[in-house]
Amino acid sequence: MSRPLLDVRELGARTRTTRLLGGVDLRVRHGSVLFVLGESGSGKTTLGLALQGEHRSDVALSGSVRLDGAELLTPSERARRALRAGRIGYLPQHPSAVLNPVRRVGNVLHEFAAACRTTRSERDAAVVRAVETAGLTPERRLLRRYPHQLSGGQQQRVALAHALIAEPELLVLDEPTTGLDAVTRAGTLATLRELARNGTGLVLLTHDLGAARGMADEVLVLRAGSVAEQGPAERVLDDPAHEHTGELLAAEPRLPATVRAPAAGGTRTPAGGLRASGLRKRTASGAELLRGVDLSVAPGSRTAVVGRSGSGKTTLARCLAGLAVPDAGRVELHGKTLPSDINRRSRRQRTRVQYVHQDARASFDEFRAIGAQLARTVRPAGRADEESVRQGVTRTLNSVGLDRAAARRRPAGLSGGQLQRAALARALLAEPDVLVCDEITSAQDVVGQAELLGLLRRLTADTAIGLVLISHDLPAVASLVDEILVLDAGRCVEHAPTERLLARPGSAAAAELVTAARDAPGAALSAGRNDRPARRRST
Amino acid sequence: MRRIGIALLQVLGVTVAVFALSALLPGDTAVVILGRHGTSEQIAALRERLGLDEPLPSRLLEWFGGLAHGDLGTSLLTGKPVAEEIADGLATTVVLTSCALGVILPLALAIGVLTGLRRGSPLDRAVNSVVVLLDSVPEFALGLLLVGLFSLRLGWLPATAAGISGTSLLAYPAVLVLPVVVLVCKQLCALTRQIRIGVAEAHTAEYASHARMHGLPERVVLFRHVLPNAAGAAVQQLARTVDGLLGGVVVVEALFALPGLGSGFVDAVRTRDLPTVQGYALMFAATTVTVNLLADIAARRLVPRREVAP
Repeated sequence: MSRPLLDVRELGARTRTTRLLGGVDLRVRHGSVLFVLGESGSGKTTLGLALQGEHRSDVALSGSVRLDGAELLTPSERARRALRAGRIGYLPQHPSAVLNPVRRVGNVLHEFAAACRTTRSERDAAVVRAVETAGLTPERRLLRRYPHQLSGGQQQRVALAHALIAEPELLVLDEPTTGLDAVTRAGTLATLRELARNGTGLVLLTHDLGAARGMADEVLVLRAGSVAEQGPAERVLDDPAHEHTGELLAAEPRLPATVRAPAAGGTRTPAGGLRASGLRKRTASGAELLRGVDLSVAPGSRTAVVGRSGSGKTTLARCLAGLAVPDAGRVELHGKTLPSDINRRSRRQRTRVQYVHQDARASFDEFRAIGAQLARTVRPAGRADEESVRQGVTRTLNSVGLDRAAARRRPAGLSGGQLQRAALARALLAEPDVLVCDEITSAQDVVGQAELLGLLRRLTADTAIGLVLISHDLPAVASLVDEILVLDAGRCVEHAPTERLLARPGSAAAAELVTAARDAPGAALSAGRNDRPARRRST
Repeated sequence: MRRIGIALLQVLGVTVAVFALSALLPGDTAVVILGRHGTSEQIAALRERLGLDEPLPSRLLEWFGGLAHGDLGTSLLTGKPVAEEIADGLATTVVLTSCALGVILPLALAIGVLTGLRRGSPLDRAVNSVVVLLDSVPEFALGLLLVGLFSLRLGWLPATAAGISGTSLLAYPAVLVLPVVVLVCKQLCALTRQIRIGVAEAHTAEYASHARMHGLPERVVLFRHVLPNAAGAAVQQLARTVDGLLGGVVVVEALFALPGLGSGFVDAVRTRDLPTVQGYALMFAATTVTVNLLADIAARRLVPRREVAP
């Protein structure tokens, strides 16, 4: 048996006060795929860096990491980087953060290529190859762009090209599929499979179980910095030995086998609820974001708006809430037209439609306690009595699973999931008729996502609140909603009851999303492992 | 293009405002020339000769009319064209400010980058305290302090530059030392700190450590990744530094008896020599607006994504 490409023994990481990782043993061979699964905060990112001998400045590593026999932990930073440059590629969790905002993407790629290629023609070739392998077309136009001129998916692929530029033997990918829509995600996974087939060793740090089912050879489940379970993918995923693995598997979103029955009380009454018709919106430069979208949400019904990134989902949501002003079209609530600009909506009208942002942390003032901020939203809604306001805040926070202590903390003292729940509570406190949730689960891990969606289901179960869920993640929201509206390039290509859309998608875009979703996580039960590529194993 | 139009309007706005403000000042040139002993008849006659008896708006319009032909008018006091008066002081001020800028720029860059890379270190804290301390001393106080120490006590440097002006200043560098030091001390702080914070942020940013992980040498990371990110804000701060220098130069020229734009401006206001005041105001406003415009254009080029409004 040949020497493993990466040999990690007794790897530990700690800051001065806390232990981040302990006793991690793992091996990666050429062409094999290791999935490290775990909730957020389980130490995945720390592990990903440690596998390359890297660490945050306040973290100390212990144990041993050998790349092809050479120790990565002990040598000086300079020696280590020389050792691993060109051999390990790393895709960090937030690709946008590693792209220098003031440099053209092509120039940076050339610079990185220079670290391992000497002549100019070699460098050019390396850039072209890396960009192609990452699934982009290496045309001049693209390479001359700045990061902010790229979509999220493109940014991720440019970062992947960074990692591939030296044609490394080992790729470490931190959450490579998070935040990608189903179609882009399938494309990325296909690229990675191809790389593994050609002999690259892959380590994926993720909570994407669907991806693990499709391509993992080995799985390691990380919990609070320790290995909960480790073994061949088939065994761990089909027959988990550790209860935490079971928890992760149970939280995984699936396309539902049975769909929620339509809201009682008959179908939509045309007078009630939120209706948008003919919404159009262009950017200042003339690019069309929305090209005439209609939407109606009856009281008590739930609608999901799904589509690939860049299809106009968020713009639509912002138009509904009045945060973006459409160029044409109108928004009606209970038959009355709402001014399209939030500044021209009355206080009462504003409370009627509540918007929950994707980034909960950014939607709170970081210097004030959560409870106080929530109370502030209630006051304009009309109830002035301090005591009742406080009680209302506490009650609502309790209903989303946050206690009094949480109300006294500032946003920095709460986790992302807790903050998102607080944001939900804030929206509910306004007693809205319609709740617009923009990708509220996309920053959460599977467990957090399941909790949040469960909460949403419970909170809106017996109320007349109409729910609009914006999501790129069809399987996550499908079980919750009555109707699904599919957006593609600013157009509504399909609007159908969930059941029908999942069974017989009537448009190409919808079919693509449903297929991608079936191929990925939800396929586990029905389709089994058929989509797993036949791959020769060199052992 | 629109930005340039706005810039022109700003300059015109400043001249009108200065005109209105000087008109509000008590007394006029006729009173100043004739002094306390002039009779009211003499003053009235002089006023008529200087054109001061005409209503304000028509004088302003006349001035704008002249401006359109490139004529800044004539000084009420000396009878010389205003353009000439300004040109006299211009060389002195240009020499003074460019010397100051020539010191500030490399110094701020060096200190800013050095402390930015070592944010929080003892060196950083020490240097920063000094820079902030210098910034918090007013120019006139610092000037007097330095004159007291180096000219009067130690006798190393001349206390004033009486009699020397324009480019001939360059022949007597000793005269320039104290004025330039005073200007530098005051204006160094903001630029240094802007560069420092920009460098520190970019230095610890994820894209910088990412570049290091790709095996790029530290030198390349600094010049290609860190500095370009710090440059955008620094250029705009530089424009503000130039503004500050123009303000500081008024005080410093008065202090060291340098016959530059600053002292000329002060004199013109004192004698209520309205056309000359207008000329100076136009000059200062145009410089400030142009510098800021250039900085905005440069920043736009340096920072492809403009998130901060200009």
